[in-house]
Amino acid sequence: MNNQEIISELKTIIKPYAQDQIALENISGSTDFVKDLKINSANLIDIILDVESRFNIVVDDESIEKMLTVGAAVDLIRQKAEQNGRE
Amino acid sequence: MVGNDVVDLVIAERESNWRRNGFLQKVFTKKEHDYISSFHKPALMVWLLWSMKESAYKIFVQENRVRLLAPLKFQCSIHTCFKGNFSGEVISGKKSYFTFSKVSKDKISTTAYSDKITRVNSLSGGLKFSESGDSSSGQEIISSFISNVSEFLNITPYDLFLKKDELNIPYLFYKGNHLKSSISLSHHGRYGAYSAEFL
Repeated sequence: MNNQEIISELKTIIKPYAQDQIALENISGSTDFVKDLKINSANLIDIILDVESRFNIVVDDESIEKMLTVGAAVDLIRQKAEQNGRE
Repeated sequence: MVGNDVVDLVIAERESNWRRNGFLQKVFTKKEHDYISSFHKPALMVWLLWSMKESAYKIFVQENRVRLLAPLKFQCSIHTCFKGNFSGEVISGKKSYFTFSKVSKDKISTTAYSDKITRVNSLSGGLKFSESGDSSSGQEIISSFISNVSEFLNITPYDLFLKKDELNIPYLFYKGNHLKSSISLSHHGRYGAYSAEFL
């Protein structure tokens, strides 16, 4: 999967939680989950759980810390998917 | 410093499924799991602990000027509980934050303080929106906050101005000059809340 494909998958996951649908349409790597998409913090946990099951990865507690932007989520998904591939 | 959080329990129940697999493990420590399972209303305890973490985190952001998503790093203890008033402590690393929460039928509001001393120069307040609030709600919370501050400090509201920085930390200005204070605003569903401490 390339970055664009990951972002497109993420968009589907995020859609039910995003309060700002216009910002969601213009989603990019720099989109901030809280500031731009107005997602409440409890739903950030939902997004992480959805990402884990969709991409078949485990997001450990250290990695969760940085998941504030779409770009950070994409990097994390790529990194974890590569680790999965090597195992 | 102060940090605050408000939870609309009706909206929380509708929009967040904390019972889903994995949710509690990502957010709560073993001790917090015990609080939840032994409380007569587990859902209420989930959101009480959540608001304690969130309000402590809001001080953390002001102190460290960094945002992060690390609910497990903010570890709660509840000290006292009386008629819907809870006092507690949130520990993050070497820091302790002291929290006061008020639980009513469909709302929890928490204010966290960075030190134990009760300060006389602090204020808290809240407001209720008719529906679940909209894009103007944030502005309404600010207006209500400013009018409260103007009474509290006995200055005219027109000279007060609030501005948020890139970390979403609010700063208060009086006649264009930064007023030394710590401010926290919160909005969830039908409720808005604010807390401030003047230094």
